[in-house]
Amino acid sequence: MDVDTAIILFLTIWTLLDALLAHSTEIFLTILLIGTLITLELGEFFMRKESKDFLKSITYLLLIIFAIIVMKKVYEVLAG
Amino acid sequence: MIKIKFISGSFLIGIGSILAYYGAILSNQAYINLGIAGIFLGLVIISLLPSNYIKYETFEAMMKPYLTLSKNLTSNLTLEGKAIYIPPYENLPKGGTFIPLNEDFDLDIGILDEETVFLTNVSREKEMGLLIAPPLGYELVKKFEEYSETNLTNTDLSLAITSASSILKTLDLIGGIDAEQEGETIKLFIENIKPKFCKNTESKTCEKLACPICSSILASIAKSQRELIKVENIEKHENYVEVDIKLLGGIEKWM
Repeated sequence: MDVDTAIILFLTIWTLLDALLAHSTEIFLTILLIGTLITLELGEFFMRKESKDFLKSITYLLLIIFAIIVMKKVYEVLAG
Repeated sequence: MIKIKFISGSFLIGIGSILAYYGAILSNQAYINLGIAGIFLGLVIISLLPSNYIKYETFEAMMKPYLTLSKNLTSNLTLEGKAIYIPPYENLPKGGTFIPLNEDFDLDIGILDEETVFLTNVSREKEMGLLIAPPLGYELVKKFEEYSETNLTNTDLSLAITSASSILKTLDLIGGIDAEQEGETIKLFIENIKPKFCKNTESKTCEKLACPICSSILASIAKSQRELIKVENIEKHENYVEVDIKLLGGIEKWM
């Protein structure tokens, strides 16, 4: 199996399991963020620049969503 | 391949969008998650799946005549010396490979340039030889740098080997590379070279004019060490190729 296929397979299994097991969209997106970070960390050396740029932009988008989720949770705690 | 990639990716994005939409209307968490997952995986397939592959047999068929040419060229020119990889410098910005006429050679890299192929206009026979600039596999070295997002010039040997190993593995050309350095000598173990032509080519030819795969590894080592390197010996085993190389010193030493 070549590396591109392995990366796509890992992301597919991770995303599907995440989608089926997560109880809320917040948890789903957070775990999806972890999955993309793992893929970037382990597969960075094996990926073409365009693929890397795509995954990085997805990661930045998910990081922004994660920051919003965290802010929302903090607000909920503070608001009581 | 491009069509399949876009059709399957778009299909997943479409299904994902419909699922997410109905999930939101029906307040069904699983549908929403699966919808987002579908959109995400569709984008992954479109952007991560490489589209420009050629068939393996085509690649072999295209490479074979060049390897025969290499063999004929080195034997007809009676080149006795083994390949010397020159890192990029002022005269050869992309580096080069020099195959000396004699085993006992001398080289003044100050007189080399990209236009020269047959180095015959020199005072001594010891300095004669064949120059290939840029070296075979130069485009692969560029890929090593593009993938690892680093300039290999003046980097660690381990970084050069790791980049070459992972990218050649990704391109499905080899299984991996191991290296051992002892002073001025470096031993390379190139595992599981996939193209069949490697096994069919004699080690003697590879020592003089290696294929683009081995050549790219050697050129990237020369570039990272900023030293001229000489191929001492190439031995082919069942599952790996052992390459002994010797560091010959920096550019200044050979000027």
